[in-house]
Amino acid sequence: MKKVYFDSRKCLGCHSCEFACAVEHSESKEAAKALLEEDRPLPRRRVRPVEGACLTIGCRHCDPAPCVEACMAGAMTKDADTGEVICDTDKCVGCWMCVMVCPFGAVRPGEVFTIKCDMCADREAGPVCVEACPTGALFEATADEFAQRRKAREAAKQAELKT
Amino acid sequence: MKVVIIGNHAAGLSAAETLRKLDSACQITVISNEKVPPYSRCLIPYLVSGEKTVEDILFKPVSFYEDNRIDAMLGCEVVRVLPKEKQVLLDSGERVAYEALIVAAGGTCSMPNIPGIEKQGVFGFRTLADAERIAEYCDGVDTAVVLGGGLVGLKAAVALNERGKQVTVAVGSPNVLSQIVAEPEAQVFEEHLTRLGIEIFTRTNPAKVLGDEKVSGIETTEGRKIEAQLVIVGKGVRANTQLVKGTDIQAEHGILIDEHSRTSVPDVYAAGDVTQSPDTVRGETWTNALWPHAIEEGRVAAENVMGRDTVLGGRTSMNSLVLGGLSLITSGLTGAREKLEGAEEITRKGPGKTDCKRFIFQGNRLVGFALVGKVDNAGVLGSLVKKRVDVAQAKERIVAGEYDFASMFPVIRDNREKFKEPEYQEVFGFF
Ligand SMILES: Cc1cc2nc3c(=O)[nH]c(=O)nc-3n(C[C@H](O)[C@H](O)[C@H](O)COP(=O)(O)OP(=O)(O)OC[C@H]3O[C@@H](n4cnc5c(N)ncnc54)[C@H](O)[C@@H]3O)c2cc1C
Repeated sequence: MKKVYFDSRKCLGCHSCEFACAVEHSESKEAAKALLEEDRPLPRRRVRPVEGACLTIGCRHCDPAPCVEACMAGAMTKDADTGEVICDTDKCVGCWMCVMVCPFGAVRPGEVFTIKCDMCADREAGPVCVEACPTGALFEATADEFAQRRKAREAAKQAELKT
Repeated sequence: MKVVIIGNHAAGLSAAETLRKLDSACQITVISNEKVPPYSRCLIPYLVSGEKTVEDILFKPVSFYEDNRIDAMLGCEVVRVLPKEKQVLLDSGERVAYEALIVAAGGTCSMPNIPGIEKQGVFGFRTLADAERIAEYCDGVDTAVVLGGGLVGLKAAVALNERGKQVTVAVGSPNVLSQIVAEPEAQVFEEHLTRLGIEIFTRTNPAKVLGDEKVSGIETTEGRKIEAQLVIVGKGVRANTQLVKGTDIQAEHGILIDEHSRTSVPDVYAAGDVTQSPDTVRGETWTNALWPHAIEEGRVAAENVMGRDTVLGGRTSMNSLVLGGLSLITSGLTGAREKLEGAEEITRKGPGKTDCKRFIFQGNRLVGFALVGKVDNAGVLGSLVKKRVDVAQAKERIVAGEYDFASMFPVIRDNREKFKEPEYQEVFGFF
């Protein structure tokens, strides 16, 4: 399964991911119109400052997923093949059990249903946040690819320290 | 391997599903006295309010047993567990043998022992059958009394209110929800419920149920009479420990389990509301009768049956409640009677009229919180509570309401030995 990962060193804190996410999950899917919609579209990902840098956090599609175990409506499930954690809004009753247990604050109470990253299921090109990121701070990868990148980054950091 | 599971609800089905996921060959038998599709007990209020049907409140598909090749013995009562023979005894006299047993028998409504409690129109509020009987009885009923102001009682009250009944709640304690909140939050809820048209009497205990064959009201211990054509009892739940009485399986308020969901007898596990399990904030075992705990204990029991060495995560009391649009999330030691040595409580009200937050610190640890109104990011705080994290550097931010993941990230990173889950590593790795 591919997940969206984040490299803080490349993040400018521009909020493009957040904005694109909100628009993608709006009624119209168009920036100019989305802002005027009655139910203001909410981003599934948020950018926040941490110690002079930035952190953008969305659903980690955990395994096992606390929100899936907490969902008493059977709305939150983990796809056996893709590993994605998906909320079925037809089943969701808005009890916020998932909000209570999400360690990342990435599952949020909406007006009626839970709001969370759906990996842009309707979008052929994949998660819009990755595409919107101008610096490549957000990237899609499998767990193995991520581990490799992490190793490479660690090595680069070490090399930097030496010079 | 032949595994028998007693109970077909949250804990039992979580165990069954996990077993099948790990082993396609094992033989799984689920025995339950409830002959029902996999409905969610927590959603029965929606059947009473009339908002949903049984089909809407299934938390697993009807084909769950078939899909997972489970031998479902529904409508069968287990009378006793016989650990020496490695069998369970059914009310029919039949015995079912097991190699591993998972007791997930849950709890039963406690009914007060008062005259008239057996009258027609008095109901517990736990099962699909309860909800269906209440929904049927509701027609032609105008007034209702709910006994108990806990989570279940108040959910019943709101459901009846939504169905257009005139509802009175009789609460024994000085405030509603006293097990999970203190006065500031309770008051917000009492005002909110009153605004919905629900009448609340606190410090009010029933002495008897009035009426002939059918209930016509209740009389309180102080002699006050409250008219009601329907009574719902929400006076707590008792763990179904009678199944293991007289065996070596140890039980107090619930069947005692360790962090592997094991009981005191080899090859016998227990999970869910029937248990008394480790509470990492309290530092002792506790009966936290909660859906997420039931699911986790069921999964952990199953994983250990299958020879994996899995343990329960950090855990404590927690609740999420939405009543007539008003939200509450609590975690840790937040009850009105929970007075901790050296604890410091900080309450913050606003900005909205119903917004209210209370934080309980003990030394440098956050040991509980209650959020009314805005509940965003409650899980971030919850992880700090159950992992017993030193939050000295973040106390001010927490109290100021800044506890989103990024705001708490420095604390989490500085305590990374407590945040071992791979998902945290993903964030640490590139920060
Ligand atoms: C109205 C309501 C609202 C709730 N809301 C919430 C909520 O918001 N959040 C939350 O965390 N929790 C909530 N709960 C609690 C939650 O439902 C329980 O924690 C959960 O159901 C526990 O699951 P369990 O499988 O351990 O036990 P149970 O659900 O009690 O299931 C036990 C099963 O075992 C069967 N059984 C028992 N004895 C025997 C026997 N002798 N022989 C055969 N079978 C037997 C029973 O019939 C039952 O099917 C709510 C409960 C109610 C009633």
